[in-house]
Amino acid sequence: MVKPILSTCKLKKLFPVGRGVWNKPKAYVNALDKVDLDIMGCTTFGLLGESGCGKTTLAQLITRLQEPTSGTIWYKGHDITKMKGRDLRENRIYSQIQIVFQNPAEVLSPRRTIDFLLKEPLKINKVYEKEIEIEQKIEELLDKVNLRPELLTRFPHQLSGGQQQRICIARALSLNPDFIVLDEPTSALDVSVQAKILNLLVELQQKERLTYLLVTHDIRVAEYICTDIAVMYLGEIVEILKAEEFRQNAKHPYSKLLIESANTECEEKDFDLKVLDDPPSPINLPKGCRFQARCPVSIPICSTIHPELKKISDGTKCRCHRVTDN
Amino acid sequence: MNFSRYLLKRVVFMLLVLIGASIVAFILVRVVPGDPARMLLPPQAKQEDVDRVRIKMGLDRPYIKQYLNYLKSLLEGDLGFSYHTGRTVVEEFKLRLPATIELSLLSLGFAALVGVWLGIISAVHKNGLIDHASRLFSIGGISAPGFWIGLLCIYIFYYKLSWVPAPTGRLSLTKEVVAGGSGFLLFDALKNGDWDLFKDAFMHLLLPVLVLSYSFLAMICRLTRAGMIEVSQQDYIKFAKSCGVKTNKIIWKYSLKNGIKPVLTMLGMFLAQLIGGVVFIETVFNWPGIGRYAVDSINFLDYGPIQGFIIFMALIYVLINLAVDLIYMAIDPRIQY
Amino acid sequence: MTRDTRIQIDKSKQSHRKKIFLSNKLSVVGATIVFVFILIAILGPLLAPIPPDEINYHSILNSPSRAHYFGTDRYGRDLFSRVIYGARTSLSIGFIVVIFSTLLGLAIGTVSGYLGGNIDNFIMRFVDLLMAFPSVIVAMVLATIMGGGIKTLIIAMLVSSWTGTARIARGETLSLKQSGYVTATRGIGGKWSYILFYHILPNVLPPVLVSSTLSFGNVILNTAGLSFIGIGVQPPISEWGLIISEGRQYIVSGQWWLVFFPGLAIMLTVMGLNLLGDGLRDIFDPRQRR
Ligand SMILES: Nc1ncnc2c1ncn2[C@@H]1O[C@H](COP(=O)(O)OP(=O)(O)OP(=O)(O)O)[C@@H](O)[C@H]1O
Ligand code: SF4
Ligand SMILES: [Mg+2]
Repeated sequence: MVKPILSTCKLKKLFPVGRGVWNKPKAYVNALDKVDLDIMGCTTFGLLGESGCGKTTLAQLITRLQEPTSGTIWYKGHDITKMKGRDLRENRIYSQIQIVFQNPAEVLSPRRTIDFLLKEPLKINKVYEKEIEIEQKIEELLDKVNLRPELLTRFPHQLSGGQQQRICIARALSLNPDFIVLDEPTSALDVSVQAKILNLLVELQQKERLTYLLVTHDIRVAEYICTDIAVMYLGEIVEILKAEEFRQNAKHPYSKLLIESANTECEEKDFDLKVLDDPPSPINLPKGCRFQARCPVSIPICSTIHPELKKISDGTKCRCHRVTDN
Repeated sequence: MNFSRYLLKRVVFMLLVLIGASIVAFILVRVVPGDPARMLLPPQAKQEDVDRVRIKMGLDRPYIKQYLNYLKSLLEGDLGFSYHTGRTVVEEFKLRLPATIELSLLSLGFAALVGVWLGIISAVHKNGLIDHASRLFSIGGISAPGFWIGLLCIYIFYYKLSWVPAPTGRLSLTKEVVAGGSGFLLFDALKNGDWDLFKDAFMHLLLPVLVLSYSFLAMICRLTRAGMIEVSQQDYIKFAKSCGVKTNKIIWKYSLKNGIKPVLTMLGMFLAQLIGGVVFIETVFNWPGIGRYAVDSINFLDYGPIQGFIIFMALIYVLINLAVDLIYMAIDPRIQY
Repeated sequence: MTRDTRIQIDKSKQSHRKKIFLSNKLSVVGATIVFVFILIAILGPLLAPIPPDEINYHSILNSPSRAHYFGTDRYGRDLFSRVIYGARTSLSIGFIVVIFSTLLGLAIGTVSGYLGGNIDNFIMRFVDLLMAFPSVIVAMVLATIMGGGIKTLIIAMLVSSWTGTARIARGETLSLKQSGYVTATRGIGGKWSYILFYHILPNVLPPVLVSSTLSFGNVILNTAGLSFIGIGVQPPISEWGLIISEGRQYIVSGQWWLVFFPGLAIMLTVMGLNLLGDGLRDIFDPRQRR
């Protein structure tokens, strides 16, 4: 049996909010709740969900940019959850797992040139000894992401959004990673540029044998490049299935709503989940199913018992009382 | 966070300030060169006598015990003894405090009144002649040392013009403080109907008050102006204007209340400035207040009053800051802590 | 928007900053004053016509004249030379204090803000505590312990001036810590020391520089004030506050120049620094413009 390259087990993240006496938090935001994932090598795993459901949190936990509250992350069979800064550096985890962020403009330090920013990962990780090797690598990277070397002397704000994101991708690639987390890599870009970046990512994946975790709230993007899709709602995974089956076979009422709203609004360029109301607060979670307040097909049991993520068929899991294997 | 919790936090911090001050004061006398016991005695005293005094003063006990004893005496209102005047520090403070309070309160009051007024006028006539003039005046007040301005004023108004009496302190050398009075000379003189004394005290106060208030006046003016300009650009002022509320009314009712908020916020800083200013101005005008007393004590290497001064200033700081918190609360109930 | 227009806009942004500074005539005046005083301090020995401590009993308390531009003091020393040498004393003390307090404040402020949590809490409460004691009191306490003198003066002002810088640096760091590029740098394996040095410091520096310029003026005022009341610079060094204190007794008998000229020097220097600081603030942070 093929082992997953990365898996998580009961991954949980709480954010304390408000400080009371003795600095004790008043409440917690359930950003992520007991998330189990298995991501196979050389695939693209899509993470779908509306704004605030915890996608970025999951992405940053996996890349070890935030500490999980509990749970474990396995990478190539190693538990990387307990590793601290130095272990992560020594085991080259930072080089192997890379991330491309949601908003490229925020990620590139405004006071540094593109040249500095591209060399930065190589220098921090002391990949090369000679300056000339670094120069060669930079050239190669620019070529990979289809950028011209003139850009090197510029500052980030002198680049277009698409160029900035390409620079971020080049930075991620520079350490020769196996696994790249893409946190909504195109949501800050124009539609025309989005397609180019996505194509670039697909191309790179084939060339470099990369594994992607793609975070998005755009169903079409997910369908376009993903192998598997997981749907998240209020910090939980509510459904996992193969991407090609998504539109036809998605069973969870929330997934269906997502598909429906995507269909009705596909004329508009920037569709979101506007048809839906706001989700309940992640601070005071509802008792039974978290989706119950907005679910069109809820039944009495939904308000009392929290459904488990059940296996429906091979490669399909769903968290809903009304969905069972038949 | 609600207000009572905020207040509690502040009170805890203020207690820390007081404890910090007491530790500094305590350490002060342990690290200065010289034996405190020997300093009590005449130079030719024998070693046995010194040791006896040491034990009597508790100097042979562990530091922590000594500190607790010191704290206890502080709580009992004992601030120590002043060798160069031969009285207890508390007595000295009682004697000199009215002079300092009279000087600083009058200065602060004057600075607040004129500063806020000048700030509002500058804001209303933004970039006009008055604004530029008051800005120049403010920059002078922030940049020039108070003691220098004080000396120049003495030269001009006493030596050249003879408008004010010689800088001999609170009164001319021929006059005497009212015995058994409150120590606040203007008040005492008025109460006794002694117009001569009142006039003399007033003329002596004039320069020190004006000079001490100058730097505060400048700061208050700048702050009020900035606050007013910011507020006047806010929507509700524009709204009030468009509704036809008279300009004067807008200024006083809406702007002022919010415009002077930064002034209040900075009051803590003013206080630090005031304490510094008082020391200098009292020195220049031979004012018999506690600031000059502290300077004298340092020059006489008399540690008791310095300790007392530290504790006293910390106490004042704490009380005024708490008062500011309360006032702030009263002015703007919306505030989030 | 095409790439070329972006570049042009950026260039105009830089020249715009220059324009803000130059259009604010007062800040140019301030910069000029500061520059002149620094020159005076450096060239002191060349400019001073007579050694500042040369005693001459034939010209005691002379009023300003061709021979002595600023007059002479009770020992017949040339006041002009003393004021020029005073610039050296004041500015060097100021530089030392400002440089060290800026470094200290930057280091403690950024580290405290970056680490956050209880360490940050503790350090900031300590800073608050220190700020509760006015610099004059700190100086008095230290002068009592160590005796007056330049060393005491410098330490006293250091103790009370690094805290302001630390606060500013910490505030900036706190907001930068949340920024994307700090997270991103962690993502490529950057150590916290690297992030602090290469990404946080360059952004914290401008506002700190503004506050240092303004506190430079304060340091000069305090140096003069503490020397004036006898717990700062000690005779026979030429220092503005000390010269005023020595000439103080003569003001009631009409020898105004002993007080006037050194004070004027203090006022001009501090004013120059304040104007310069205001100008810099307008460039770096137009929001805070007064
Ligand atoms: N540092 C934090 N402190 C407190 N709450 C946080 C923090 N970071 C995230 N959260 C909360 O956790 C939840 C999940 O946030 P997250 O950023 O993971 O959402 P997301 O799915 O990435 O949304 P988007 O699509 O808008 O990027 C949100 O409710 C958010 O408010
Ligand atoms: S469990 Fe019930 S409420 Fe939740 S999604 Fe299924 S049907 Fe809807
Ligand atoms: Mg996100």
